[in-house]
Amino acid sequence: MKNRLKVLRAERDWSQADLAERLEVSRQTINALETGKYDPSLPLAFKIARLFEQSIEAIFQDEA
Amino acid sequence: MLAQMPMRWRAVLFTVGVLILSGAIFFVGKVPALHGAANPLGYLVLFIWFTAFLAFVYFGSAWMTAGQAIRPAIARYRRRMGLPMMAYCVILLGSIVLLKNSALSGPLLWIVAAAPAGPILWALAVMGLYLKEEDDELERAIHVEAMLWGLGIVLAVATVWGFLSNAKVAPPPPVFLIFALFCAGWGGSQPFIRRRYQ
Repeated sequence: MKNRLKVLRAERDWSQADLAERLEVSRQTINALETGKYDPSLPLAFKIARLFEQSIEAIFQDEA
Repeated sequence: MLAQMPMRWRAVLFTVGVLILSGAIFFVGKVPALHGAANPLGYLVLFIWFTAFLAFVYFGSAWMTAGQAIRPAIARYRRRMGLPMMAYCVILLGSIVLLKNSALSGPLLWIVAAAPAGPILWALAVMGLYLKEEDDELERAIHVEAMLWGLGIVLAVATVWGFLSNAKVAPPPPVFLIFALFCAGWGGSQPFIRRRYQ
């Protein structure tokens, strides 16, 4: 699944470690999310959406 | 040099160490001077080997993740796992000594024979607790998949060996080793699973 996490993170000048700390996950998880190798669970997707103050659809794009 | 070694090579070195230590006990077991049910030297060597093996796994796994932030759930898991593993070593040796040197019978025989399984069940509970407490969902997913690999390897080996044993072309499978095989499958499959997410 494609997402805009890397862009949103860069806009705020956060490192992967910064975002990981804010979401309470590991840096490896952030890396896997940004590269589209791992799709987050619904609770984590909502947490990301709340953090960036955007809707889930504005951050994640379904490729289907 | 060891501190700068890439994670992949650390994992290879750790695996080689585990294999060498695992193989060492089979060679040590062939030394005639250590044989005999009442030979304390044999039990002492077994105790030293097991303690060295545990220390290698404990410090080796910590070295593999050196430089990375240790998640609280993993730190708790490592702390909790030390106790059942040491208990296993002591209870297993105690059980072997009693079974070989005492004429136990009835319920006491059952209790002494099954006693080493207690710490293993304790270790399984610690593993379950880790999965429950791990709040990083990717990390949890990796461990669940690795555990499924461990279970799959145990089932595959037990099934093939069981049929060979039924046909009397192989000795009965050492069922008490299935936990060790599960752990090996769990640990050994992780680098391959993690590669998918890098």
